[in-house]
Amino acid sequence: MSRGFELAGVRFGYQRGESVLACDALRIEPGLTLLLGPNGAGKSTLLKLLAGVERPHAGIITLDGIDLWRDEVGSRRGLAYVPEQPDLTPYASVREVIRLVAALRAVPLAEGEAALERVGLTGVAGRSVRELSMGQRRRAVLAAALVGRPGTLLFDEPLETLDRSIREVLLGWLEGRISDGATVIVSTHEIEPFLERAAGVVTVVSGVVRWTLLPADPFGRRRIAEAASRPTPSP
Amino acid sequence: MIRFFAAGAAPVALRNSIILFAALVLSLVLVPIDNMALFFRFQIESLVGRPGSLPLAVGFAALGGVLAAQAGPSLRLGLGGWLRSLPVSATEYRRAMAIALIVPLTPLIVIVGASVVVMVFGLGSPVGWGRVTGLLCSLGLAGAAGVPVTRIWLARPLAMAGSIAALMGWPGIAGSLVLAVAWDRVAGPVVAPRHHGGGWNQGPGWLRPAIAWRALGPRIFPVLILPLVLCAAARFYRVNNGLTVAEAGGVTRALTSMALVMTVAGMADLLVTRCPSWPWARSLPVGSRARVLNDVITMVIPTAPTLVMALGLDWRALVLGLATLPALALLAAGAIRRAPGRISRASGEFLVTGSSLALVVAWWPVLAVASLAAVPLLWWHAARADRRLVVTRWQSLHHDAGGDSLAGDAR
Repeated sequence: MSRGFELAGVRFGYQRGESVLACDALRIEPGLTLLLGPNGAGKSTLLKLLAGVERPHAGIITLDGIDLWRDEVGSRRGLAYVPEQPDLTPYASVREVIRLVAALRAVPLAEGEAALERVGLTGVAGRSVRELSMGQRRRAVLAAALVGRPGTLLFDEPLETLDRSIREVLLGWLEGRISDGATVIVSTHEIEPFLERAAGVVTVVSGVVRWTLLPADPFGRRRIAEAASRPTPSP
Repeated sequence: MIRFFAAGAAPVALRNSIILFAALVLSLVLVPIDNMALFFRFQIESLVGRPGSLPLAVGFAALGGVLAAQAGPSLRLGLGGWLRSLPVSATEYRRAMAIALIVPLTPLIVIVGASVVVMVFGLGSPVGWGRVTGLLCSLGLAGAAGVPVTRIWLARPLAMAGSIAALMGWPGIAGSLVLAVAWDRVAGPVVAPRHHGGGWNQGPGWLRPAIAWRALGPRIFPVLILPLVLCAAARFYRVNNGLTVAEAGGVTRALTSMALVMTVAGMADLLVTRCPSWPWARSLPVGSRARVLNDVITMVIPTAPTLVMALGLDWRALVLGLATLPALALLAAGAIRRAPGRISRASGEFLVTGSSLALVVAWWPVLAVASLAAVPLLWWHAARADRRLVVTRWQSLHHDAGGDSLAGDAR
């Protein structure tokens, strides 16, 4: 069984007949992969497709050899997704959401409590997400990712609005998960904290997805990453 | 300031009207038809007649107190934010809110007014003007009792005591005015709102259905009115027409089936607006079939009153309803997933498919077996619609802040 993501003939658009993302073939292996591209290029859309939030209009996405839409439960069991907009439901407390995630990942509820403590939300865990600041909301979604030991981690701008201490918690935890062989995909404009550990870069430019292997040379890595993040000149 | 709060109270008044109308329809169904005119005459004379019934008037005032207490938290929502920076004193806020809280009691005031008109022009009986004035004062103080003030433990009993005192003739009305002044003196400022969430602690197994019920809240009650009207219509049609057993059975089956369709359609529209797809949750290990099942359970539970009424009319209508309900709910679950972007929401599609199914089965009851047999196929079809849903597309047309965790004005 191949580990990581495989995309084949994927097409997606938010409106009927529209295509905002196209990917003929892509393989993302375990390790850290950076997802780069200018604003509005389709990075978040690609992450939503990989997280199983949106279904491609055409093509197949598999995670660890399992089709995301043929075996919805099985393929998502080891997957954690931290979106840019922390859209937790307003009708449940943060603790309830974390306990739900723990139950679905079949880990003890105490692990959920530990995750809340790790991100510093124990004191507000009984509150609805509406009562939290944007930074706290992002921490709540981050706590959901920390529950269990998910083998696939998808982060959309993970460092945005987080304070320094939580950034360090997140980066340290990611380091550990990468060492354990997890598949980690990070979409970000802040490349510095991740560049050293990244194995490759997926670029999304005008909805077209490409994979680039990063060289060992630090200057070469930076040059490729910066070029991928740069907006394409208008025709 | 009074106009500001009164504008906020108007939708609550409308909701209360709907609830009272539903209670009226229910009484039409429950009261024996031969005694109905006598029943309503007795109620009207007891309420505004001379001498009238004190227990009924106290019950009326208590209902006003409950409605005002329910409306209070909705009215103070804006007080937690920018409004507090305006140059308005706490006393002005409190008085404005107390006056505005009479607005949600409008349906009760209308009932008093209508009863007086019926007494004078319909029944020709003497009106107890002291009682009528007392009822109006009583409702005013019930509004004051609903204001969420700092010293509510003292203010609310004072207001309720004034509300009851007003029903005891002219001296009582004078006493109630004294108690109203006392309420104003001791109440203190209005308590700023706090978002709910603190008391929740649901186990993970129940969380997904609990989220749907918290999102829908008391909004499901208006959904139940039309089905109740249809059940009442079935009853009246059976009683007032010389039908054969077969004809009476057909009418009951058709109208109770349509009542089920209306309940499910109303719930489907509520789910579309109040409980839209939760994008992040789709990355969790929960399948589309489970999400569909969750919606089906949410839509089926409010059909219980209709099913109970169907049992009262004809047990065969209940059996038929139970056999058709899974297919109806699955059709609606599919329509919910095709609703984004449609002006007709989910009910537009469902009223066509669901009504057709319900009427065909009501006409040929044996087809209920086919309806049950189609359940796996309909479930698969609704799950496929769930998988095909583009959940993160912006839908400005049907955007409802209530279902959006990022909307600051959601409640």
